[in-house]
Amino acid sequence: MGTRISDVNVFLRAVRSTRLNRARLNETQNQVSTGKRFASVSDDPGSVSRVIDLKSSRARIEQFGRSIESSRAQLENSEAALSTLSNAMIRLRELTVSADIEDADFDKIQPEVEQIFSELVAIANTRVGDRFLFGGFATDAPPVSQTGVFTDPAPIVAYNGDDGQIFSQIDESQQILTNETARRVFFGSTDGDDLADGPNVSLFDTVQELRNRLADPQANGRPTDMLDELDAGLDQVIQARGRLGARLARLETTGNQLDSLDISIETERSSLEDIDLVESIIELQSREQTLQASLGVTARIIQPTLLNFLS
Amino acid sequence: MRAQLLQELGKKIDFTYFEREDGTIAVQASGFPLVDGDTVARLEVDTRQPTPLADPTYFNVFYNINGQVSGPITPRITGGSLGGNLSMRDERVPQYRELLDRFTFTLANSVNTQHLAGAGIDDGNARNFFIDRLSGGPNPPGDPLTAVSGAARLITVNPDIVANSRHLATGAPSAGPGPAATGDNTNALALAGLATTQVPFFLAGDPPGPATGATQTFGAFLSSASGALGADLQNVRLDLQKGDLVIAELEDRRGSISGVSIDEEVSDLVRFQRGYEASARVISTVDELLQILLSI
Repeated sequence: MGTRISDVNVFLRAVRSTRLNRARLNETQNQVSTGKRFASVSDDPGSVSRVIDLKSSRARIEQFGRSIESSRAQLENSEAALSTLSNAMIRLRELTVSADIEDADFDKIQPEVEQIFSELVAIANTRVGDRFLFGGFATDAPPVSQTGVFTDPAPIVAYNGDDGQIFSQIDESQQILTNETARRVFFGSTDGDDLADGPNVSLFDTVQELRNRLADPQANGRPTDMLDELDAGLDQVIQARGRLGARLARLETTGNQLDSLDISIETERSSLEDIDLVESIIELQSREQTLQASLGVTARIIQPTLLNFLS
Repeated sequence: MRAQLLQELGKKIDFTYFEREDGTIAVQASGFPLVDGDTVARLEVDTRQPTPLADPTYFNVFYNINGQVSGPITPRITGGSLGGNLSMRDERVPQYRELLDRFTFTLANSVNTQHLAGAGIDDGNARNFFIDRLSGGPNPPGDPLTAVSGAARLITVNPDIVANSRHLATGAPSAGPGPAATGDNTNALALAGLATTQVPFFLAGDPPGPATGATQTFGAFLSSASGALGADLQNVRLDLQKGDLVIAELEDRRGSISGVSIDEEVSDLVRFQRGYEASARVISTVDELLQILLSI
């Protein structure tokens, strides 16, 4: 005699297998509709924690991207200001050379030089939004101020900022310097005081002296003797622009590296987390069929009993 | 009816029972007799708690027989939905809670240490960035968290800093104690650097001493914690599947013993009906015979 199969067993089994198939179908349906391989961390703990890592890496990369953008703005603003400055220095040189001509009209050159002096002070006090660019950490007050008139002994401009170097984190391991100080670019100092060091000159002192020579060449000497100092000044500005340019180039490279890193991280995340749509839809159909089959079988099994055949 | 009640009880708690000779049964759950003949004991819950539970609002389970109430028997309840919920409440969840508390405390501690080293731009006062929500303390510097337990519940950002972002210590104190320059971001960089720094994590018993837990980054701690949570969940799910299979098997067996097969019953019915018809036929035959006999 075979195993005794009671009707309760048949019903239970039918319910159980229908329930199981429905759950499987539901799982696949979820995957297809969300596009994600797992709905909760327990579906695949290893992959999920890797995906969490990858997502936090991407969030950091995004932050680095924002840092790079704001550093770039800072550096480009500084570079624009210094480009105006080097034009002013070139103009000064032209004026000085023209002062070499016999009967040169010093009276006409002198006001323009004075004008350029004020321009230099304005450039050193360049401000973007409410931040002064060239004062080091002291971004809330004008870094330079004029303290005397041209005929006073040099220096007649004081530096009010500090030597603060503002760094920005642009990837996991690199920080980039985003500022230049007026102390270094305008005063030519590299050691924390306001006096020019090495081949550098103080632009303010140089322009002041040029102006005074133009005003009184007899007492103060020939203006054209200032050419060497003017060249040194221009050189000093060009070097600063070179430093800014190099940093901008480094930002560009780092930005590109981060972009490609971002893509490869996204690719890995997608391979772990996203479903293969074609595969999942085929799976969905096959599970749907299984469910229908089990429903069909249930309907057929439940119907016939001996009662149906007794008339 | 009784079997059905026992089946219901089995869903709630692990129990054993046996039938006495007089047909009554004795039910024991977790070693305590619940029903014996006409004696009934009850399980009660109450917030009275001679043994400490993680939270003062938690209930303990007590055993009450004829008004005599035992001490709490909470840890002895096993199996069933009651046992499952209790072990979830008293074992599993506290484990995850502790992970969260350890993370919070270590994070608050590291950030505070770095924040105290810097200065804001209004004044040079050192401030704790994260403080204890309840104790608060004189501000500055504000009371930091003192214990791992409950850290995640008690942590809050120093309201002094929330009210005035100039108190954020983004810069280094300039030349001795004093406010930092407005553009100084050295301490902000150091704070951001904490994200990738390996720090020793605090264990529950560590404060006020130094941290003695494993040294890792905050990200690594969180991802391994969520990985562990996932693995636990997966195990539970496997256990559940296994349990379902066992139940299915048992239900099958019970069904094959106590269940009814309509085919069998109907064929029995037909058989007995035929038997009845046959004996009725015998009776009517005998009746006919008697009538014939009487009419002779």
